Amino acid sequence: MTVIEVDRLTKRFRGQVAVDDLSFAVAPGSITGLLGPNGAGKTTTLRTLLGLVNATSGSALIEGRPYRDLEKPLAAVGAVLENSGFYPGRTGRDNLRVVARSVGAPESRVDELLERVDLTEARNKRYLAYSLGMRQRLALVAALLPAPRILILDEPANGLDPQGIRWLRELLRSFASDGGTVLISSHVLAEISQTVEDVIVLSRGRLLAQAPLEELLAGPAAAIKIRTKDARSFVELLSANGIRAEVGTDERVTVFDTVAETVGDLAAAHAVPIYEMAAEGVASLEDVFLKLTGELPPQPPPIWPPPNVSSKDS
Amino acid sequence: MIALVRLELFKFRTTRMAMWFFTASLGLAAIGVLSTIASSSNLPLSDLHTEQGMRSLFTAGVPGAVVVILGIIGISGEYRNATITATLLATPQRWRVVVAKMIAYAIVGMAFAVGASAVTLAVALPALAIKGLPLLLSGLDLVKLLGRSFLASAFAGAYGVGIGATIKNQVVAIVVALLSGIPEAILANLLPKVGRFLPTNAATILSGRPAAFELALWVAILVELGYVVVLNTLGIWLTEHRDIT
Repeated sequence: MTVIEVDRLTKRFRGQVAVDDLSFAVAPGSITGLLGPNGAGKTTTLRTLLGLVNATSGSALIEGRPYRDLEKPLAAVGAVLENSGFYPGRTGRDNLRVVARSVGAPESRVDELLERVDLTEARNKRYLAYSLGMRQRLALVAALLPAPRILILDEPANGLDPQGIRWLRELLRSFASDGGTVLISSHVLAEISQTVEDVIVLSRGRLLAQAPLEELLAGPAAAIKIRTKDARSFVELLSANGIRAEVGTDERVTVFDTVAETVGDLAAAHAVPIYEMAAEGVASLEDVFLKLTGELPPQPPPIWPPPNVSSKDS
Repeated sequence: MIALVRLELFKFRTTRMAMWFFTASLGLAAIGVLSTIASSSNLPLSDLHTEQGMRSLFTAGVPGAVVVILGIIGISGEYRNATITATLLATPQRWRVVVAKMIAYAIVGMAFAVGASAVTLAVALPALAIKGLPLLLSGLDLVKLLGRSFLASAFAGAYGVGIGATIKNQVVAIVVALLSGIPEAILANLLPKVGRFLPTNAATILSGRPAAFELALWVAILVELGYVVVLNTLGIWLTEHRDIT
């Protein structure tokens, strides 16, 4: 059984194609990342799933039904979207009370959840006075309040500091280990690479790949960087042995399509001194795109945060 | 549906705007009554020695436009603040949201009219006593008059929701609502037979205030109901087909 099923979904906004014949499925209990550069159609896909955007053709189903036909939608799906939908002039707590009322949750749960995300002190501040991080935490709490079976998150890491991202990661892991299903979008692979199991890669509204993250990260595209005494003659030696290699501007050798053992053994056999050797995994969205298509993503990601920053905090 | 209406009322109550508008409408009611008394000797329609003048006095504070604007903000404000996303995630059948708002803002309108009537009575009765003017209206007349203002105000709220659901841009919706009176007045003067059925005239008849063109009360009620239903049906259709991005 699939929890989320998108089938041949197409969405055009006034002739402009946002999602193009997209199909994918998400299995229960999994954490799936929806990955793609800005403008790839991630938000449109998620909003169509949630019944906010009307599909031009195709279908987007949750537990086998369109969102609009779900009996208690908030108990099925918790969603965190950009512009999470809090009234700026209402306090954080009152905003949550609105959610609690619309799902019939007791008000005691509001205060309990505010405590859990450290918003107790700010509960009577108006929403417009909240920082981006506080807003994201409030949005997550609001999504979790009705105890949903599925979480759909659109770029939830935006505005969170590293500590917040870690908190989010823990939260999603415990949500999934309790049997919940998570679909999370991002344009920065590093933000979700430690959380997601499966990845759906989108480009220009089309599906580029759906695969376990490990599969996407592994494989021949991984390169090895080497610092040696004479880079140029080492490249010649590698090439003579049928291994593709090149010298970078930093005078380091980059070796492709092989493993560290082969390179090390070859160097030892020819008495080439190796000062440094590092295997470079696929670490960014750009690398995934290069690997899948041989091209960079169609639209450059925003200048900030820089695309190649990988979190190395756990 | 009852739960949805209560939710909408709760959402309204927990905004600062609610208190401001409520205070403003009470203030406007007091000003309306006082200005009617002050101008009573100059304007024939509000001559307090006539029954017509008394009617003007007790309907001067009916919160019409204020309630229409509240209804507009009640739905277009959701787009403006992007709260529409959360609202529609909770209730994906969009027509139910619009209908709940329509009912909720009719109730809000009525509550505003009740408040305004209390202020009107509190200001007008002592003022008349001080001036030594007789009431000229029976108790039943007065109750009927206030009842009409409650009904007019309830319609105003539902009417506002219809405009806001149809025109989701809040500023445009409010400007259209406020300025629509101008072409309406021009049309009414050119074609009085049509003019008396236009929203402003029907609403004025309903509220018991002196109207430009005569119209039977029950006709005015039906006409107003018609506008509310047509506007909200259009609003629901548009809301159902909108992409919330």
